[in-house]
Amino acid sequence: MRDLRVRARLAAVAGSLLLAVLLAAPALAATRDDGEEPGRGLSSGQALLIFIGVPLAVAVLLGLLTYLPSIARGPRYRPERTWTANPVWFGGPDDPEEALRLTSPEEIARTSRGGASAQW
Amino acid sequence: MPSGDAFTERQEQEITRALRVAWEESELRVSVFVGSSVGDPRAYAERLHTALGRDARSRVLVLVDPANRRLEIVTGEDVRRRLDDRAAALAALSMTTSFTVGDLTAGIVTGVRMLADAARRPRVLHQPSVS
Repeated sequence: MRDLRVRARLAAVAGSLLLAVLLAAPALAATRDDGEEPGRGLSSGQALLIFIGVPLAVAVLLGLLTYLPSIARGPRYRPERTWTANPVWFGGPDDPEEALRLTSPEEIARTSRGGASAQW
Repeated sequence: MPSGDAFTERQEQEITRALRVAWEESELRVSVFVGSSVGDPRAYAERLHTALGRDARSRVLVLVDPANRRLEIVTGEDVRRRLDDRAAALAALSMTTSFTVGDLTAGIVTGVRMLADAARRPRVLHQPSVS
């Protein structure tokens, strides 16, 4: 039983190899036609440029197209990442540092306040 | 380590417009601080609120602390009469919902709008008691 399974596997591997060779058979018909004059082969530099350089350039271009919009949009807040942006105060005092320095604990404690707290 | 701006120019305009609308339509002066709090967030928010100056009593401070994921809304003594803590909590809840999905601007704009709407409601002196 086990022997049979091993044989089936071997047959499958051999079959797929054979099939690949058979499918490539038309390549054997590539003989040179009359008047056909192949040019010089690619130098290794050209080959590198065409087969590695061009795909690389395409990949870089696609990458740029993907990331450019978000780069142009600027940093975006992501809850799972740490926050590194500069503090912003909308409608705050003209000189925030001076105003904060001038607030004393007594002054803060003097009035009552309301509001709400939340976490996310 | 601070680096870069929290908002793009357009986002800043959106927030500034929301604050202006709150003032024009509800006479509610809201100030929004986005940054890390120093020490306890609530205490820091109250410090920022006091730093708003002499008219702090009639102003609202919103502290958004993305680093600690904390939001604090501080209402001055006078504002509190037309903007109760329940309305502030409701706005806070709506804001944190946006923050959770990473949209600070939308959260702030919505929150400011909700605060302004709540503050606009005219005070009813003879309110039927609801039990």
